[in-house]
Order: sequence, then C-alpha cells, then structure tokens
Amino acid sequence: MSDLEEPSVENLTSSKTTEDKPLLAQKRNDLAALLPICGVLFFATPLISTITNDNPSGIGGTAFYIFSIWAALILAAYGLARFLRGTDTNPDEAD
Amino acid sequence: MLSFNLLLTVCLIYVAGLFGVAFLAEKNAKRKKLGFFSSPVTYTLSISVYCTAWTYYGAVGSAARNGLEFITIYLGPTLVFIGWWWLLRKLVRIGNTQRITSIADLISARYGKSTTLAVIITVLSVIGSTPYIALQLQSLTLSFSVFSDGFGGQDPATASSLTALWAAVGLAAFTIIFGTRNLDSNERHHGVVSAIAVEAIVKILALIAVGIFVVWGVADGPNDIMSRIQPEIMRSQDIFTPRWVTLIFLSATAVICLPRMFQVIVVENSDEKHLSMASWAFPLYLFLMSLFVLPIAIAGLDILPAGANPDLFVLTIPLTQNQDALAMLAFLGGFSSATSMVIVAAIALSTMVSNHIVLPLWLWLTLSRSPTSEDVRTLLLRSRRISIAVILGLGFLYYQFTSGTGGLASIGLIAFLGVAQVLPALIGGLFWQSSTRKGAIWGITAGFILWAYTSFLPSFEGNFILSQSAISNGIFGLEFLIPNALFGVMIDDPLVHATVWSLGINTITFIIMSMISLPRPIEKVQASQFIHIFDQPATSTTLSRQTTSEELHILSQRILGHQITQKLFNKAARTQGKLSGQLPDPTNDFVIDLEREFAGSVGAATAHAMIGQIASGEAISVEDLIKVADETAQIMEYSARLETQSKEIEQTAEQLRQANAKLRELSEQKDAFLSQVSHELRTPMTSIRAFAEILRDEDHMGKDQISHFSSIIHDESIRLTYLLDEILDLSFLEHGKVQLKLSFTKFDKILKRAMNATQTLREQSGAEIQIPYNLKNLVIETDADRLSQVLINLISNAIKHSDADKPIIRFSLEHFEHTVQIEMTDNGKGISAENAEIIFQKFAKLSSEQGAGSAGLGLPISREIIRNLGGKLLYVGNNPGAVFNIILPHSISPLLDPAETIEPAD
Repeated sequence: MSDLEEPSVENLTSSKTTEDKPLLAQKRNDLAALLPICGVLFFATPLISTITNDNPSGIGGTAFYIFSIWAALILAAYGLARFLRGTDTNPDEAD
Repeated sequence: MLSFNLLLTVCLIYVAGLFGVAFLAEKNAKRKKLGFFSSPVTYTLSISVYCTAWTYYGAVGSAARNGLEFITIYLGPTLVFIGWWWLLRKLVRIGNTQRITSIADLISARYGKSTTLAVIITVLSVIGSTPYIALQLQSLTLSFSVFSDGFGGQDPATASSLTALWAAVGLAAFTIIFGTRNLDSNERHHGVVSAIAVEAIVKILALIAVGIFVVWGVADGPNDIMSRIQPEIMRSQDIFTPRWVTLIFLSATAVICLPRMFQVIVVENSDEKHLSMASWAFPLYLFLMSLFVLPIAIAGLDILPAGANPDLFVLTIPLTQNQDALAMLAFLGGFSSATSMVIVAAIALSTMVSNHIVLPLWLWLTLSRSPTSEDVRTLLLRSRRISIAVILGLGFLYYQFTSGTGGLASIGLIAFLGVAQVLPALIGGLFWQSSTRKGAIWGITAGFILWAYTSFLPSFEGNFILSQSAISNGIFGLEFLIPNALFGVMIDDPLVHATVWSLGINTITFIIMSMISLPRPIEKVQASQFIHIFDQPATSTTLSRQTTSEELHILSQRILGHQITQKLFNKAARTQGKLSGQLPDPTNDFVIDLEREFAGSVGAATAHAMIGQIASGEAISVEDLIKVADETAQIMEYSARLETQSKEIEQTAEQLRQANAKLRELSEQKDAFLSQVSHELRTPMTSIRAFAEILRDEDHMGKDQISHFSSIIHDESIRLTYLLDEILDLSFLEHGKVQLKLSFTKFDKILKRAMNATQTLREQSGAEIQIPYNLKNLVIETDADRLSQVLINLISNAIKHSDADKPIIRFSLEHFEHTVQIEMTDNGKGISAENAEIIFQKFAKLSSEQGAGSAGLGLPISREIIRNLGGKLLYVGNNPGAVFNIILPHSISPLLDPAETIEPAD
C-alpha cells in the first residue's frame, strides 16, 4: 500500500521554486514591499497632518510636504526598478 | 478670440494626426518593426489614460473648492505603481500567460472560467462606466462652450447637445476603426495605444504650459502665487480625514479595477519589463500633472471674476489673458484627455460585452456542434462595433438625461466605488487559495447592490428609480433604509458611508461564502495557476480530448480568421514533424495552445466552452480529469484495503482448510468406526439370525439341539449386549459424561477386585502377579470400580497375549510430586512395532491373532477411564515384555473437570 503511494507523494511535494537563491529572492521581495508601505505611512496616516499642522504656511506647507515625499518615492521607485531588473531571474514571456 | 470654426478645424487636424499615428503604428506592427510604438515609454504614456478630462479640468476645480483633496486621486495610483512588484507584476504575468482580455475575463478565469461571474462584472462595468463616459462628453461640450461666441447664434443648450452628439459619433468612429481591426489580444491595439500615447504627451504639455504661464506669466513666481492663496483654500488645513483615506484607497483601486485601466496596464502590455519603467515613470507623470493644479486654481480664483466655473480655469485663464495659442493647446489637452478615456473605455467594455454576453448568448442559441450559419469572427467583430456604438450612445443619453444637474460632477468617484466592488474577488483570487466562485459572485453582487443603493441611485437626486423622499427619508419611509445613513450609521461623508458599507459587506460576504463553499476542481486548478504564477513557468494543465484537426481548423478559422489559423496550424504541424500542408494532430499541447489563442479573442470562459463544445461527446475536461484522479485515488485506497482484507481472508481460509482437514479426518475416523461397529455387530447378529431361523423352520429337532442352539443365541446376545455396553461406555468416557464415584481408596482393595475378576483366567494359564508392598498400601482418591476395570483389562490382555509358559505380571510404584506412576510389565514377547501404533485404537485387531470374544475396545476404554481419572495410560515399550504405565494424581478433587484440564492421551 505505502509502496504504491510513495512515488506520487514525492512528485507532488517536489520543490516548486525556480529561484536559485530563495533567501535572496525573499529579501528582494521584502524590499519591494517596503516602498508602498512607506507611501501609505506618509500619505494615508495622520502623519500627514501632524507634520504639517504647525506649519504657519498652511496649505503651502502641506503641499510642499506631499510633493517632497512624492518625489522621494518616485526616485526610490526608480532605484528599486533598476535594482529589481538586475536581480530578476524569472523567465520572461516569449512574446 | 479664437473662432469656433478655427477651433473645429484645429480639432479635425489633430484628430487626423492621431489617425495618422494610429495608422503608422498599425502598419509598423504588421511588419513587426514597432520600435518606439512598443517601447516602455509608450506603455507608460498609455497608462496616463487614467487622467481623464475629469482630472484634467476637474482637478483645478476641486483644488479651488476643496484645497489639496484633488491630490488623493493621484496618490492612490502612485502607491499601486511603486508597489508594482507585488500586485501589478502578478496581474501582468497572469494576463500574458492566460491571454486575459478584460478584468471580467480575469476574474471569471480565476474562478473556474465562470460565465455568470463574467456577466456580472461586465454589467457592473458598463453601469459604472457609462456615466463616466457621459462626464467626458460633458467636459468636451463645456470646453467647446467656452468658445461659444462661435456657435453662430444657436441656442446654447441645443448647441451643447449637438457638440456632444458629434463628439460621440466621432469617438465611436475612431474607436471602431482602430479598436476592432483584429481580434487576438496578442496583437493588441497598437494603433490606439500609440494615438493615446501622443495624446498623453499633449495633455501633460498643455497643463505644464498653462502652469508655467500662470506662475511666471500671470503671477510673479511661486512666492507670489503662495501669497495670493484665498481663505477658501486655506480652510482645509487638517487634511487627514476619513474622506482623505477613502479617496486614496478608491483611486488606488480604480487604477487596477477600471476596465480601461486594466486594458492598458494588463491587456495591452507586450513585455513585463515595461512595467518596471512604468513603476516610477507613471507616478512621475502624475506628479507633473498635479504640480501646477494648485497654482492654476489660486490664480484663477484671484484674477477671474467671482462665479467663474473653476472647472474651466485651465481654459479661461489663457483666454482672458489673450493667449490664444496657449488656450488652444489647453483645449487640445482637455480634448485628448476626454477622447483617450472614451476610446479605451469603449474598447474595453465592448470586448467584455461581446465576449461575455453576446458570444455566450449566441453559443447558447446555436447549440449545434459546429457553427454553420454564422461566422464567429464576423459575429465578434460586429458585436464589438455595435457594442462600442451602444456604449457611446448610452453615454450620450446619460449626458442628455442628467445635463444641468450637479450630479455629474461627483459621478467620477461614484464610478470608482462601483468598479472597486471587484477588488475583494480580485485580490482574493490572486492571493487566497480557498476563495471560491460562490464567494466572488455573492460578494460582488452584495457590494454592487449596496453601492447602487447608497451611492449610485442617490446621485440622480430623485430622478431615477429612487425618489427624492426615498433618498432623504428611506425607502417606504423606513428610517433604517435611508441611503446615506444605512441602519442608522451616521457618517458625514456620503462617499465614505457608501464605501464602508458596500466594500465592507462585499468583503465579508466574499470571505464567508468562500469558507462555506467548496471550490470546484477547475477552480482549484485555476487558483494554483494564478496564485503560483511565478513558480510555474509552463502550464501544468493536461487535457486530453477526442476531436479531429478538421473540426479545430474550422472553429479556429471562424474565430481567428484564415491567415492566423493557417500560421498556427502550420507551426503546430512543423513542431509535430509533419509536412507542410498537413494538419497537426490534436494533441493536448496543441489544443491547449489553441484554447489560449481563442481566449485572447473571446475570453477564457467562452474559449473553454467552445473547445468543450466541439470536443463534446468523448470530451475529457480538467474537471473530468480531476474526477478521474480522485476516483483513481479512491480505487487505490480501496484496493489497498482489499489487499489487507484478502490477506485476512487467506489466513481465515487457511484456518478453515485446516479445520476442514481435521473434520474430514474425524469424519473418516467416524466412518471407519461405524463400519467397524456394524461389522462387529453383524457377526453375532448373523449367527443369532441363522440359529433362530433353524429353530423356526426345523420341526423335528431334538431337545438337546434346541437347547444348544438357544444357548448359542443367548451367548451371542450377551456378547452383543456387552459390545453395545462397551461402545456406550466409550462414548460416555470420550465425552466426559461418566459419573465418577470418587473416594480415597487403598490400592490393595482395587487390586483384589481385579484379581477376583481374573481368577479363572489366571488359574487356567497359571499366571503369577507380583505386587510390591508399597503399592498395596497406596491410598489415592479415585473411582475404585473404574480403576479396577482398567487393571482387569490390562491383566487379562497380558495373560491372553502372553506366549510364556507361565505368564508373570509385575507391578511397581513410583511417587512423584503430585502423581504416582504404576508400572506393569509382563514376561511375554512384547508388542510388535506395527501393533504398538494401533493398540489404543478402537476395534483394533492385532495383526498376529484373533482376539476371541474381544471387540478391541478394551484398551481404548481403559485409556479413556484413566484420562477421566485425571491421569494417563501409556504404552512405553517392551522390556522385553510390554510395559504399561498408569500415571494417576494423588488426589483428583482439585481437578474439577478432568476431561478439560488433563490433556488427552496420545
């Protein structure tokens, strides 16, 4: 009975990952998640008003805050895209 | 001032230019020399179709009214794009591998190629997008009306309607010409995408140009602008509110879920690498788009007369400053925003309508195995063209219906929330293995109904389905059903209220229904294909179908057209090593490839259905395969169980065989016994009968003769009785049914009884019995009668079979812990080895002699008696005469049932 099952179980549980270095890939994925989390943190939490509330320049200060963070995020995304392109080992679609 | 005719001419030239670009791109695409047209830059620019006229004009209006709130519409997509690695990359990879044609197709494919789901999402998308298209038409007519001096004295309302109508017709024509040229999504709409990329450049250039003009032309640099800020804008200082978060969330959702956004991001994507550029370039585009929004709003409020429509500041500021060229550019920017949105939305929606509604309907109506009356390809193209016209027609009607009401302004966000109902099913489908079709259908339906009730219908302000009183007092006057305060939940902002209710209930329903329903096999296959898309470069689906290449060829020609079919089939034939011109075999791989190609044209669900239909009969679908696999597993388990059972059965059978053999042996013994018994009975019976007959028939017999015969009969009868008694006795003994009269008896007494019984025999043969003193004095608990019977038998046997002149029988005694052993030897020649084996058998007739008057039951009875007395009677050999051992317990009482506790004698 167990003799019959063993081979099929092996096939099913055989390693699925195509990554050569799973740990590196994991870290790369984590890094890719960092950016949107930072974005949410800066734009969609009360952080956005606590930093700018005391600013005497009012809406100008808030706008300055948003646009600065925004620019920083774009720059970071640019860096990240270059970095990810360099490490992406996944096969691309042959189109 | 620009004249209306000049404006129209420029517009027409611009559109002609777009036609040229689209045409060029299509031409290059055919020669496979796309270059710039398929670059990541074009891809990124085409995504800017997100920025519609609503954002182009409306952002400034929103800034003038609500300060920085407009920026949320750009921040949401920014967050999605900088997180592209997690969501967009997966979507694009799935879109490319599964040949996804629309968001409805994606979700239907994920949940087991479900047509129901595709229809629901299509309907939802059309309902959500139609007002949005109307909004673009309104923007176009508004921007035309700015130049209303040129209307030539017509009534402004009629003129607006006319403009909207012509805009709709023109857009429909453009979309039909470039949007429905081909069917396979693999070829994509290069022409349209290129034209949209050009429009994207125009609109951003226009907005930046106006912005620069405002900051450095109208005002005196950024500081001057900041000093002109009006209190209305200053008012919104604490911008972090539920509405702020909701708007960011909704815009982030919209960039994924809006049909047109899905079209440009996923369907039109030709290379996954393009996404990595778009991940930063599209946020940059949005950044630049919003950079000058606030300055334009501030300047507009400052220099334009109070009451001027802030939605048109982009146009009116250059106009009032007599910058005609800039105004023209700004107008073209707005024109581009509106047209690109309408074109892409119409393409996306028409694809959904034709693939998920028209084609399934048609398939259902023509259930025939191979379509003969209609050509699928023609049908699809025709239905798409009609769909585009209908969608734009609906947009126009909606515009006519609501023009003049303020409801249209908020429709953008309402549309966002409408399409956001797809989000839980989408995200669940991509990351949650257990999500099911039922969950998706119920979740989306619940969300859709709540969205319609709390957000969409109230936006008509009582003009459509819900009356004004129903909106303010609840339907049927039920207070807990007030659309803006459902179940008494008071949230100030209606949009936040609707978002919380619709998406909340949607998500909860989706999760609960997924948990209580089981995914169908095909859902499981699709789920793992979607969720683990990066782990499996090649598809693992295996399909085996019974169909012919001819049938596939015919179907393919109908869907993909002659040329593409020829190319596909030739390629497959070459791969299979066939000569050119031959049809390839309908192998699994080929059929899967073909289904993919079909999916690119008609959507996964329909392609699956069509291939399934043509291969019906002996079709083996994935579902069937999985069923087969399940059954095989069951059979394997069952057979394993059978194996165990059969082993058990074998053991039982072996036991039975053994038992059977024993039974047969016993039966044979019984037969032998019976035949021996009947033989033994027959002999005396025969003589009794014979002499009885003589006595009956002979009349003249002497008295002596009569007496002699009678005594023979009498003797034989006695012998017979004796024999029967013995048999009965043996039977009782064997079954342990004898009543033993146990008592402590001196052995001497038993011996004396035996001596008396054998006295005649002893005297005749002159035999001598030697009994030691200790044996005489032995006292044991036993049945004296029975034991003496054994002794009589042994002694008489010894005397009868002795060949000595003077038989001598010697007894001896030995004590053991619990038993005594009485040994009896004679001085005869002993028992031959041949006879030794049978002396204890019933009716054993020793080979060497004829025991007179003995039926051969003496020793078997003796052995049974000793056994019943808790001992053993053994023949132990010759020395040189036969030696018998009687082993008896000192006391028999503890052995309650001797027959069971004492082993039967060997």
